[in-house]
Amino acid sequence: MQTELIMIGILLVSPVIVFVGHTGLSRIYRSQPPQLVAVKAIILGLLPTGALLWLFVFRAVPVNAEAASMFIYCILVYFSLGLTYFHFFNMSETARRIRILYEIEKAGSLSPDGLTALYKTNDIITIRLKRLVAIKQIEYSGQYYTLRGKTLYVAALCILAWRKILNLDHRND
Amino acid sequence: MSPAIIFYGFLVFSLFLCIHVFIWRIKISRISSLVVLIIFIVVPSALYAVLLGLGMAMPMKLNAVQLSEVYVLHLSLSAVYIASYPAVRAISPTLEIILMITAAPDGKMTEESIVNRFATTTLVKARIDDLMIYRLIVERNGRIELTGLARLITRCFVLFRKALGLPVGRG
Repeated sequence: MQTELIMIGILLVSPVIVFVGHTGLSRIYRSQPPQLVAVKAIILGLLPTGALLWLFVFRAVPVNAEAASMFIYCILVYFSLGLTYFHFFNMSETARRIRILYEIEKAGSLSPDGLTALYKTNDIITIRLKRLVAIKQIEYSGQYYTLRGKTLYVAALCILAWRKILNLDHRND
Repeated sequence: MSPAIIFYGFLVFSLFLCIHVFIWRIKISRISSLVVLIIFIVVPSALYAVLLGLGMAMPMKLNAVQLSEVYVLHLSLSAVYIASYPAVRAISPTLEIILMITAAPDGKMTEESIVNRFATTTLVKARIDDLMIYRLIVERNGRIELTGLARLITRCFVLFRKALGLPVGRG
């Protein structure tokens, strides 16, 4: 019982372990797309988290079906929390709302027109096009953009399907 | 750990997912992100605390540690969904760009044609309206200011980026 509580504790702390690793990786891999570095941090975070789990949990557990369940449970929770960390990081990188809040905080206050002038449509789209090219989801050739990778395309289709289920389709709130 | 724990964790998450779908199909709140938080985190946490506090065995006959394991798995799955929900609630420009390019004749578009498909009102004003609904910004004398909570959120993100050695995100 106590082993399982320790297991829960280590798993809940794993996003902090990922964050600590990320602080180093983001400085080493400055030229790489930030999202890719975040993914690397999550994968590399498996090492210290796995080491802690081995030392304090699995070493004392006999190899049987219950240990296999614990292992699967750890994988599920670790990667769920890891994916949450990725979304949080991606929000800090790409969210318009965070950028808007930051611009207002930097200026003290802004008029609505002032905010729109600072954060232009052109810039918003150009930044995203550059990101998509960097993570190989689209490519630029002969002044045209075309689809390259399928990951985000599949994600977009899943989101559209889920929006239909949630009845969000008729509005984009 | 019994394999049933993993099953129960997914079962609990699926139950709250169904409640979420049911409520959304009746009425979508203007503060939908907050309602998602309430459905997936607040209500299950309250139930967990009550069951733990009362020392009651769940219908599945779990002890306190097993109940905690189910709760943590549900929380983890919920955290991913909550973090993904903003992209579901309002399709991000990034995903819209991809869908646009794929749907275009010959599957290609110029930057100018992509930019022209987006209006500033959608990209910026909609987000400003969002922030006002959640009382993160207020308009005073024709100027937009942050509320106390917004200042805290902004500073957390700035510190997070500083710790990573990165400038503030370009949005």
